Amino acid sequence: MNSSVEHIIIEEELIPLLTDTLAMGQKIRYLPFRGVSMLPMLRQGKDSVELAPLPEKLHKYDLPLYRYPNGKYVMHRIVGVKEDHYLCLGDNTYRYEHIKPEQMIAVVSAFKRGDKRIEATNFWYRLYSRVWYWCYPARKLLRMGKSWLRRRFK
Amino acid sequence: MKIKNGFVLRQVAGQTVVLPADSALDLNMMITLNETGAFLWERLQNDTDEAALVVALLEEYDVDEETAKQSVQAFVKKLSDNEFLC
Repeated sequence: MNSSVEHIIIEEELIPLLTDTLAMGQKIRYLPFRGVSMLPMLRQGKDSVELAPLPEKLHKYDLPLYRYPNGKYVMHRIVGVKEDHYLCLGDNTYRYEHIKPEQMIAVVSAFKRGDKRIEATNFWYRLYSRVWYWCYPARKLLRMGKSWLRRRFK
Repeated sequence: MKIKNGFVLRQVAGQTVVLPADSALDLNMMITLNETGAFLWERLQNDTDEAALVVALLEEYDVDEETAKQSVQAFVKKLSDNEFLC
């Protein structure tokens, strides 16, 4: 298991600013983050996100910010909406997470890739988020194959 | 002179922050004000001049006139350089 995939995390020191801004009903941009779990979409040090207050309902393929019980703030994609929780998965992680609605803090409304601003409603971005998830079984298989080969020929 | 329309002061995480009204807080363009900065900003909501700002500072804070003058000049220059004044 590749446990070195670091989750996307918003720095602790930005949290008060973030929560106050969201509480005023305003968006906050452009937040830097740490971690590689949303690759290839979000690259640490190069890209940043705009967060908006939670809408009434979150949908599949939305990218929310949520809080782990240990207090960490994490951003992974919703890949399933269940009756009492969401199934979340980083674009570069392979373990589903079960997140309750009360853990949700905000949702990505746009992001900056390099200097380019891309809206969450952008057609190509939406296509990417779907196709990337549809490839999940293939990506997982490929990854398992790779690690098997590595073990076999070490 | 006065502050242009379209900006609001907000208390965010214990700091006084200038936000463009009806827009997002942009970390790359975030302006924070200290206590006297916020005080002068409020005075500048209405048309005023540097002399009146100095008087207001002297009334509110325990400073000498020279310091107050310098603070006002520096603050007004900063605002004007960043095109906040009209």
